[in-house]
Amino acid sequence: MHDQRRRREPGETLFGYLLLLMSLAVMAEGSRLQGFDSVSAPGIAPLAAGVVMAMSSLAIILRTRRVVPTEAGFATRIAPRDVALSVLMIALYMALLEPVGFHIATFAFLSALVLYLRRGGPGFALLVALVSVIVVHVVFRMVFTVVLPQGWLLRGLLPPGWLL
Amino acid sequence: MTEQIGFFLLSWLDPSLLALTAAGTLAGIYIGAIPGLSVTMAASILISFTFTWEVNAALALIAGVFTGGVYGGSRSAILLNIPGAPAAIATALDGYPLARRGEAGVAIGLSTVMSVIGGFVGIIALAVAAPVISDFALLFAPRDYLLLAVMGLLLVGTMSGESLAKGLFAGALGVALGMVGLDPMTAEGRFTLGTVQLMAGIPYVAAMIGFFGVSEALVQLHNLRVKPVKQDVSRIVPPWHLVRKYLPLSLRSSLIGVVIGALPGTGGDIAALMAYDQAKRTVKNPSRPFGEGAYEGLIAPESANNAAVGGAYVPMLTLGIPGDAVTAVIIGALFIHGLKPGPMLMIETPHLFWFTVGNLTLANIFLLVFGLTGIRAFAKLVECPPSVLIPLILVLSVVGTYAIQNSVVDVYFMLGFGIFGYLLKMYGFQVGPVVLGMILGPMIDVSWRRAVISVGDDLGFFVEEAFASPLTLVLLAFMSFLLLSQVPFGALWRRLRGQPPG
Amino acid sequence: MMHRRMLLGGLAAAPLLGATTARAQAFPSRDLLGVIQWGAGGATDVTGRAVTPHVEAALGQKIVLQNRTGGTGAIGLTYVHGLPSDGYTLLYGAENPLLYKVLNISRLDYTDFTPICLLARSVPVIVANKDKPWNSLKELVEDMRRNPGRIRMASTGPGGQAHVVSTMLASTGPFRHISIPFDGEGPGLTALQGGHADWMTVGSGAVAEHVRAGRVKALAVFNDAPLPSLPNVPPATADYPELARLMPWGSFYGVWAKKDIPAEAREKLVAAFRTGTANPQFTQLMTGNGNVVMNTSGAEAEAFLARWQSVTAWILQEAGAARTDPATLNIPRPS
Repeated sequence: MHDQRRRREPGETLFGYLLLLMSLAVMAEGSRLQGFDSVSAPGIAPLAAGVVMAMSSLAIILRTRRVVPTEAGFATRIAPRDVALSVLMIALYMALLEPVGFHIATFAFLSALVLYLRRGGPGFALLVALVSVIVVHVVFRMVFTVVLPQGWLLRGLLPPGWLL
Repeated sequence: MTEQIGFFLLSWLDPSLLALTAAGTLAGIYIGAIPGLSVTMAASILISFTFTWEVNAALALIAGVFTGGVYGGSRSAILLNIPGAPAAIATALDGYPLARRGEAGVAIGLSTVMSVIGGFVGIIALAVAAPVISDFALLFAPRDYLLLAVMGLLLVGTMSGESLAKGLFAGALGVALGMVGLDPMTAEGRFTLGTVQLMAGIPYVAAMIGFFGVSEALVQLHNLRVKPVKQDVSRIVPPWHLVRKYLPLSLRSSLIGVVIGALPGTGGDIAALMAYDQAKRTVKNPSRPFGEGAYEGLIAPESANNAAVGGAYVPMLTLGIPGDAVTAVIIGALFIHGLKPGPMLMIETPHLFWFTVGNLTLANIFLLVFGLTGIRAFAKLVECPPSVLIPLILVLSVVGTYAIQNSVVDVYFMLGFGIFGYLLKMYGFQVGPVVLGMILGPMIDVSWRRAVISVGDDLGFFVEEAFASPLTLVLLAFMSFLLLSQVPFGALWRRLRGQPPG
Repeated sequence: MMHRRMLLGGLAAAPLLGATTARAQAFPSRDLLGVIQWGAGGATDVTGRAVTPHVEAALGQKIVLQNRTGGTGAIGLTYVHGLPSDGYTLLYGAENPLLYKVLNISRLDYTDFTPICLLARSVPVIVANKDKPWNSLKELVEDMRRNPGRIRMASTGPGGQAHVVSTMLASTGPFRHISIPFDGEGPGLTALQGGHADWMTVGSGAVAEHVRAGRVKALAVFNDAPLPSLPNVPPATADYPELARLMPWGSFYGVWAKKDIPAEAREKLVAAFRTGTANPQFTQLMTGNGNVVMNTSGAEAEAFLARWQSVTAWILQEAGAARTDPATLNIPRPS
């Protein structure tokens, strides 16, 4: 009944079908794990979760069809430029994390994102990035002995067995 | 008796133990506040560090870190919507909305006082009734854990927001995510797609950071140009009348915390969620609707999770059975220091018990002191411009997730969850039920299977055994009551009579 | 201690600026990484953390320990396997990888690793709920034969100590019982004391105190002689002498490195762990907990591992619990 207040967001119908697809995948895994065969099989909980997901996503799809759509498009409502570009940068950061290691990837990501979001000079962004990487290194690597991702691209440059 | 008081006061009178407890509590607050740094991790590092020390010093430090750490999780939950520790998930539900209203200072002050009250309830329970509570905890059979988890899952109903279907989907999705990895019972891979990387499963802390922290950061990108809300930090220490008004709720929640904390299979996270549910059901006129910054929604989980600390020590000290992950590490520490944690510990080394009780009391006093100082600086943190704060939140989420089990795969999942959680939020879903499902799903899965395996898959025998156990019957009655109380009978009746809903 | 750690960390950051002369230095020239394949507070973790300070003293370098858990230890093993074979990464492991291939858990196991030191082993103890009528191992086994599918055992999953010991007991003559998997020995013992399981097999270290307090009833130690820490508990061979061919059997904890690390590094590591494990503080801790200090390396350790794997894999195969036939994995039948 609250749904009457809400309008259909762009892409919501597609999202509903995506959720349904996910539900079916979960159910398939549940049945692969003998969820239908025994009440104590490894697949019983995945199967049950999949069924609940499928039924509720069907209900969601039906409900979505009945509400009025908003006029605005996907690019303004769901993925405005700030969000889209940030997500892109996050994806790039993820991709760089293993090859170049945590320190360099984080420095690059932070300075780029702060520079973009803040729209000021590069000096401040670089400073924020540098200080953050140092603080993280001190707290996590030194005090808590968490060995951060090393980066295999640069492994050759460091002495053998080096732990950054 | 005087001997016991002597042991109780040992860490109060010895300046070095006093300093260690204080240092531990202060460090614990920050460990708790930084997502990914867990008390378990800190405690196991402290063990290799305090290896050559006297055992009392090591225990004093760990008790402080434990107490501070459970509380510290509320800081980041309130300020950034990233629960610093799993026990603070429920705190974020109303704590973060309070910070968005500019009441971060009040929220932190209130949660500090209530944490300390909860902490004291836990300690009193430990001191007075430890043997009774631990015998009670042993009574819980797999089917009773199942009932507890199902009761917790009913929270989905109240956490769903605009539509129950969306809440159910999110909850069930969480359950499925919780299944990823090697099945703990048969060592068969579930949702692992044949890869070793997925065998360890997805830690729910990673999901918590992604769904809560990163998705909220992305939502905040929409109002990048809006000036951050000014935080009112004029009144940090909550006024006495407010504390007195909420004392009954805090005590009720603390009792839930003690019991759930003492059960060997459950800890502060589940205690806090159940206390939140309890508050939502019993408080008729909250200060604001739950989920929009109700003080009650902050008080209940914060009292319960700190009460669970005392609870967790109960089976550890009386039986040598860990009440949670942290007490498991403490048991390891006792071993290394040449003590013998087990049922004889309290009989053969009673001083250890009273020393621990005294120490926890002291840690709670320090918690009050440290918790109420420095709030201004913390609260001002959220006034930092979002163009800087959001990138920092993202990096903190990455490091925090990596630190949980040193896995880059977890980081990918966390960021993926963040983006998926953002879409969920944009399409009117609540992300709370996902994390709830991830925490309770595995518990439901293994408890159910253990329960039916115990009866040789014979469901008739299962029912027979369940009805023969008074504890199961009580839990069953309680659960039915919760279920029925969710059905809006009045509205149904009117609809049946053909009247318009009121 | 804190100070030293900081200092080391600070030094660790410095050579980024340029020192590549380290190659010429003697092993070990900096911090080592020790990956523990089980969680904090568990037996592998506690044993590893207890021995490491003594090893560090002998080695002259710090070993940074971290837990990489999951997949019954396969995650930690796979991680170490993926790192360079320079001797700077150690795997703190237990017996489980020897069964990975038989149980289809992972394609990687100890094959590509060399044991630096087997630290200690635990002896399984067969315990029952204290209200149960059995007073000996024989009474329990015979009761299970009389009442098939009625008696509940707490287990720790396939390939775990409880599972393997019950399979070994069944080799004396079949019986059928209910096996409820718990998350570990601790949760299993809890269920046992609450009466939710009737009997189980637990490592001597985890159960000795519970036996001493009378909270559980010890029926037998799975050994051919009584244990010093549990002198009044008879060995399993008293009731079933034919079990002797399977012994010694039980969990063990050790440290491994990749097989192809430099010989110099291996020698230094083996020597340092030998010294560290021999430290009286560590040996007292282990024996006090009812464990048996092993301190073996080289060919002796390899032989122990091979025999353990052969005995266990084939007993599982005979019981139909193996998922891959040990014969196809070239695991020889026990002689």
